[in-house]
Amino acid sequence: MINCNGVSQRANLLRARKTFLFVIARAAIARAAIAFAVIACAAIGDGQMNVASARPAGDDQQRLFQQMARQPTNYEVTFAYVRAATANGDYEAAIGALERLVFYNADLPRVKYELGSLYYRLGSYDIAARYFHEALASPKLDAETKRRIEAYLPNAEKQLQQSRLSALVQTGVRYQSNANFGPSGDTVRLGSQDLALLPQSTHRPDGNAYEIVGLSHDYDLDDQRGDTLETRLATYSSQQFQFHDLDVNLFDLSFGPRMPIMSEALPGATLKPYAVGGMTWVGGAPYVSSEGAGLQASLPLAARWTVGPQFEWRHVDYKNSDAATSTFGTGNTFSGGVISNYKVSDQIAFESQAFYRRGTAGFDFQSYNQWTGAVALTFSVAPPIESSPYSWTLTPFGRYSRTEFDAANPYIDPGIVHVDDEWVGGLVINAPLDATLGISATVQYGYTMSTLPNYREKNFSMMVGPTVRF
Amino acid sequence: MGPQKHSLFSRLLTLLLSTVAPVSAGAQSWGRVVAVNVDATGTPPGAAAKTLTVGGNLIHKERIQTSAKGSTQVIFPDQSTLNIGSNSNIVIDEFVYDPRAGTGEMVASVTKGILRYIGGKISHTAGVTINTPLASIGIRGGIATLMLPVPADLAASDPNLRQHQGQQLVISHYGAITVTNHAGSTTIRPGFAVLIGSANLPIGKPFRPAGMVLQQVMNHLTSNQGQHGGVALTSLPTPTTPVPSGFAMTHLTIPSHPPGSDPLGYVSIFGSANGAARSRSQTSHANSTMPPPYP
Repeated sequence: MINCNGVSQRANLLRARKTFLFVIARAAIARAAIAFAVIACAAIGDGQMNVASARPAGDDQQRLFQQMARQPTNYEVTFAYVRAATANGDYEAAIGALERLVFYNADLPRVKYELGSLYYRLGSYDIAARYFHEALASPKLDAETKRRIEAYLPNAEKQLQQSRLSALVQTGVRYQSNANFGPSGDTVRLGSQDLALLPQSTHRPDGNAYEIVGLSHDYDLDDQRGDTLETRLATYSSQQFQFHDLDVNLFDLSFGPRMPIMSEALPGATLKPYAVGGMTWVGGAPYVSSEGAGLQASLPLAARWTVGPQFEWRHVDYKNSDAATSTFGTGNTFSGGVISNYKVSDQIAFESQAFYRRGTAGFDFQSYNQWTGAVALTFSVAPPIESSPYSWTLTPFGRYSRTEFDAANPYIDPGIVHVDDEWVGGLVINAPLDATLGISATVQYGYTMSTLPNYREKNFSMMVGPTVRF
Repeated sequence: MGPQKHSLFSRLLTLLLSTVAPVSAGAQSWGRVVAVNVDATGTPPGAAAKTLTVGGNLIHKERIQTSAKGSTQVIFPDQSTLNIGSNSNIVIDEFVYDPRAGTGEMVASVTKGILRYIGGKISHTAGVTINTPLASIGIRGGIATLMLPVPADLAASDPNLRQHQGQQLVISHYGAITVTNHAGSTTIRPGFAVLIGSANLPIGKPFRPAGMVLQQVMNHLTSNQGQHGGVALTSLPTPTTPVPSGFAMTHLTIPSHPPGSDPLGYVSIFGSANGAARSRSQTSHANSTMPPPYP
């Protein structure tokens, strides 16, 4: 009886704390959203969009076009028009205006750099490379523009190859305040009883060394639809300093053709069916493998906005897992969702994801519905080293995920269905040093609220390390 | 109506059309010469040829001709641009643009020469058509270069062009470019080109033009040594003329995106690893508890 009252009081306390933390989390998100908006407005104001004017940017471009048509030789007006057109994503209009300046004087290396950049943004890499070469050939090219061209020209020329391999490699160190994912209350529920964890299993910090490899290979079939065969590989490996039984190795591999669709109605739209598979080891032992197939689309709905609906099925096979108390079990997952990328300006990009996943397993308590939403806002900022042509990026991000299992786990608590609400927020900083080398640092904080004490946790982590990209 | 009266009427009509306010609220059908290297002439229908000058207007069905050293650039109210190179002969058959609706129609005929069309509002909506004696080129939302005939020096610079001197070359730079003749139709993607030998022969297989071809095409479409697009030397920008203040130097991004190069993708790799370790750890916690308190 005393025990029951104790549990009840504890449950009330937990509920109160949950409500309090939820309110705090909501307030923090609201503050973060306001901060994002303020930073975004500041960055837009600093960028190439005219926020001071009440006129839409398209009106500015039209007004400047009319002025330019009256004064075609006016250098200032022409650049103002190029600036307005570029800010609107109307790169063709900007190209026409700058090619006129080259008519007036064929030896304008800075103008040729801008022309190369505009063709580059259109994906017309052959002409971009030509303009870059022409600018480089000019003895009057200034040092800064030369550095930029030397940085971008290899990327443009790479896009002209039929077989293109790109990679992101990072190695680094990571600190986690709760590296063994111990529950916040240091208790777990089993058989409806809250039991204290042994001291060695309570939440504890640890560090690790990690290595990430992301590989993409595109093989252009050189047909007139623009079909490519895409291979994507992501690998991760970590070596804990203390909790070696939580060392993780994983890979995920996908392969499929990307095919343009609706080229008349929606230029740039593509569809990609693919096969996918992966394997994860924890503590050196196989933990889970998966194989499946998916379908993803990329739909450029506007000049700056691309939407990617996708669907994926995987058969997931958990190895050597303790079926009674493990959260997930062998079965199938069906995921559907949409990724959206919106380029607010040349300096700001907004990325969002919304997904629903249905997981089915042998036991109802391991079958689940999961909803996930994630947002990231990337700010490109001028590097502190003025001569560097590579922008640094700062990306605050946030993710929310809710997982509802179908039934209560009788081994844990037959009266309570496992439901998790997980919040993650953080900041990624990328600082390229040259064309291939850079440094990346990330801080993030994750907080999981759950109906069961086993899964309530919080974890602060930091990772930093050099990156190689080609 | 005698020939002289017809000519007078045509000239009056030409004068009337060419003095229409170029930026009117209704449908617009003008073209404006914004760069020109001698010799380039415009011949309005029923009128004599006139030398094109910067700031001059082109009217409906005016024929533009350039000499071996001539070239010009024309802009249109839909903010599209036509760069016309040497030895060209082109007529703008139709150009109507409604700025309120953002739509219109543009049809041009080319009997010879080289030109690059850089799309505007019309090509992004209805599409633009350029007719030649060998084919019809449909441009949708894009940039295309057309050369007729392929000169000998260009034909020698690319294995794909050898033996095809005198044929018509169409290069797609951006958008959907469709080439149609009596034998069929081909849509070429950006970065590719086709050759057309005859109106009745199948259009050639698309190929990637060599860099040297693109270089020569670009040379044909701009001023030669000593030419300045019809602008006085004193008003020309020079290589050292600074770009106007506020025009920031463009930063470009790497076009390839391996896994982990986007922020959410990068974070999700750590998320997947954490998910596996968390699940494994939480399962093991069940075997790592203290016995329940004695009741």
